[in-house]
Amino acid sequence: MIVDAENEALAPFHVEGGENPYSVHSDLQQTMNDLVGIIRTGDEMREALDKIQTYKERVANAGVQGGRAFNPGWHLAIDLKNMLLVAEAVAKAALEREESRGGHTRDDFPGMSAEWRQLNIVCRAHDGGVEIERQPLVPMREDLLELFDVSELKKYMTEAELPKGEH
Amino acid sequence: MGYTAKFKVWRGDDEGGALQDFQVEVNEGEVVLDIVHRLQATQAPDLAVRWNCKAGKCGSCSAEVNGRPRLMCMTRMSTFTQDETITITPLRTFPVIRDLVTDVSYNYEKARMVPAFAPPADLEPGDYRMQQVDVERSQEFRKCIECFLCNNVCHAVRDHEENKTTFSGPRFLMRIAELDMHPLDTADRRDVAVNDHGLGYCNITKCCTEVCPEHIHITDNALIPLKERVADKKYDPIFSVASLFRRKDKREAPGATPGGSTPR
Repeated sequence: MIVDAENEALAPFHVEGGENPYSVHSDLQQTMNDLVGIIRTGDEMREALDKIQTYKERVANAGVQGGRAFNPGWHLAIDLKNMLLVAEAVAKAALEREESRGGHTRDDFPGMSAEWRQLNIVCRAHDGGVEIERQPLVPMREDLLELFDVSELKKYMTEAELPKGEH
Repeated sequence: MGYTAKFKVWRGDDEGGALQDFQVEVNEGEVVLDIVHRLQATQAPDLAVRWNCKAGKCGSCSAEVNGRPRLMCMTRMSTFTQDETITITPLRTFPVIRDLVTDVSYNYEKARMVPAFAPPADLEPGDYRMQQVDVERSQEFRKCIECFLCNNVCHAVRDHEENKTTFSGPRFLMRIAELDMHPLDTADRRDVAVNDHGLGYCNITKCCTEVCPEHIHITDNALIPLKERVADKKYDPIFSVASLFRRKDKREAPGATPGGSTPR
């Protein structure tokens, strides 16, 4: 187990003539900024996910020079695997959520949806990629529900969730 | 807007190294640390540099730019001419780990030697009362970001490695001064400052004040007042006159203790 982790960490040293990890890093930054940025659309995020797949190959082929002491290029080569994981999780979950809510703005789905409010999207690392799963939200307790005006709740909730017998 | 600048960066480790030449793109508004990062990204991926906040508040990116100790993130490229060669070297006073990264543990060892704040034993934490003027006095020293540029530039250790055992540098003498000025501190720190931290090594050349990125008046507001407090006790005229007589009384055969190092 420890040997595996060590081999994985040291792998970039054994790539002959490998790509500079910094160029993969800057391409990943540019992709996420352009395609999974503040205003998102489905097509752009699908394009980003394709690009992330190609970056995985590039990261596996990234090589580093120099020794093991305080080597930022090596650290980046190791970090990139995690950055790709996070990038994929963000892009996949954002593509799945077909509504706009808070900081997530979909140009192709501009409205906020009461159905989507009932769902969380759980991302898990799986087989070198990210697996997403819709998970229903725990409904709000009756005693808490009573604290709100029904007119306020109607803005966010489906008809079935509203307090019973008052509307 | 952009231009190509000439850089010399010291590269090496504890076994030695040399300045290496680089030509690198510079854009408007950039600072030296941006250029070092561009060097890493494009030409020298294994160039070691310590950095964090890029805003002059973490004190990590200390180095010597054209021989002057500075924070790289706060050194604007616009302060240099476009045909100037900019030389970046690691802090000279501390041992190099690699490239621009030095081992600054000297500073942390000295920090541990400073006796902690000692409020009166019977004073409950909620009952601390201070005048605003007393707060302000030590507040200036609390601006310190511990970049250790002052300890790096101080020639008492910069040019005299052997003094590192006895001298703690401006940073920690300032810390002692801060505690000594604290109205609720009960400890007498004057002997500690002289005996354990080498206050006497300070020649008041104000180099530390000059390089401080937080513009703390280290010499004027911390070191000189501390020296004055020490001198006040050690060279009190009445006390020294009294001790002079006592020494005379106790003097034995002439020339027995040259230099007058008689214990009091």
